Amino acid sequence: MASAPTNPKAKINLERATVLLMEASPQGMDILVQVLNGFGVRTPLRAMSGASAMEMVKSHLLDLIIIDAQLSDMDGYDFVKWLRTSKIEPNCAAPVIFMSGHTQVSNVTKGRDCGASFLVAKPIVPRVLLDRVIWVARENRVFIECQTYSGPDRRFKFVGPPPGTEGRRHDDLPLEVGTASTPNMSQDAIDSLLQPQKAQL
Amino acid sequence: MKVTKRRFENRLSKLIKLPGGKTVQEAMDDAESNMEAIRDKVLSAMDKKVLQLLDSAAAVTADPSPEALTNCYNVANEIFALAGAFGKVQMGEAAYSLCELIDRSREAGKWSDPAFQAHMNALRLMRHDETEEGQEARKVVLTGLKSVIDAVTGPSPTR
Repeated sequence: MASAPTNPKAKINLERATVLLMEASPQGMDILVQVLNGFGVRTPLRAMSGASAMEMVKSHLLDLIIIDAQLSDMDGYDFVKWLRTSKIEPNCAAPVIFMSGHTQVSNVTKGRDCGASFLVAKPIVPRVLLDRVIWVARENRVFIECQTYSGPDRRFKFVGPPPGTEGRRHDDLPLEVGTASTPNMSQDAIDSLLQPQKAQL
Repeated sequence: MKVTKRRFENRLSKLIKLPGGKTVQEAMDDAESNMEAIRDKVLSAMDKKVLQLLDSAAAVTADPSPEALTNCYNVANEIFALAGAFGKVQMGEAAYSLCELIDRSREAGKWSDPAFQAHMNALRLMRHDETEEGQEARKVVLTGLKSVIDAVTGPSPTR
């Protein structure tokens, strides 16, 4: 999942963002806190266990969650699944950046399918983490709720339904574009849809 | 299957654009200098974890318990994350390789104590020798670990 390169001169302001950091290792937590402080986050909330994080989800309005795959009392995948199906709004839809050390392909799939917004491989590198924070701040994916999945829409490439299937959503379009069934639109009709403005030079 | 689509406001996208703050470059520089401030403390804790792992190796025998393996896996995973964050790349790679051995051995339902001991020896080496001159030799050791895992569990799926 490639994101547009971030301009080093672009300004960001994370001072008022409420960020929940979840990491079982005290040293791993230290690193995260220092990095997020460097990014400008004033006082990130910290949780080393799933139980304490659940309390924070219930009591704070969260703008971003950064979570490690291993917590002291549960695994991170289960926590994200709980969050996404918790119906605690709007936190259930908060951006979640999932961190994983030993990253097997099965873990990446598991992370995506538990409802994380983005996966970051450890070790933590400030440049990579900041890039991902900016990426999740820019994204505006719809939140999907169904029997088997709750979380941001996993179809972000817009390549249509999986090959060989017709798709199961009412707005799925076929991959093949057929012959036009109506006449081409006139320029006036196009202009009326786009609302062109006079260029101010 | 009923699928519901909803759109929630992304509060982070509004907050990040508020006036003030810092440039992306300043944010990265500040994060890196904050990390530097805890470097010694974290690396000292990491070294204790390496020792803890070497000590716990005694509990891993020819037929280790799932708990003993999980414990080794978790500690190795932590060493990998801490070492890599502070540029101890080869130590991180040795720890990662141990995670790989345990993970793939579990999947394959096979275990090799000599392969595990080879990893312990590699971790000891990385801990004792951080010299520039020893770098090439350590690279050879790390390549050897990959071959050892392949020999035990079969060819590797790509990382």
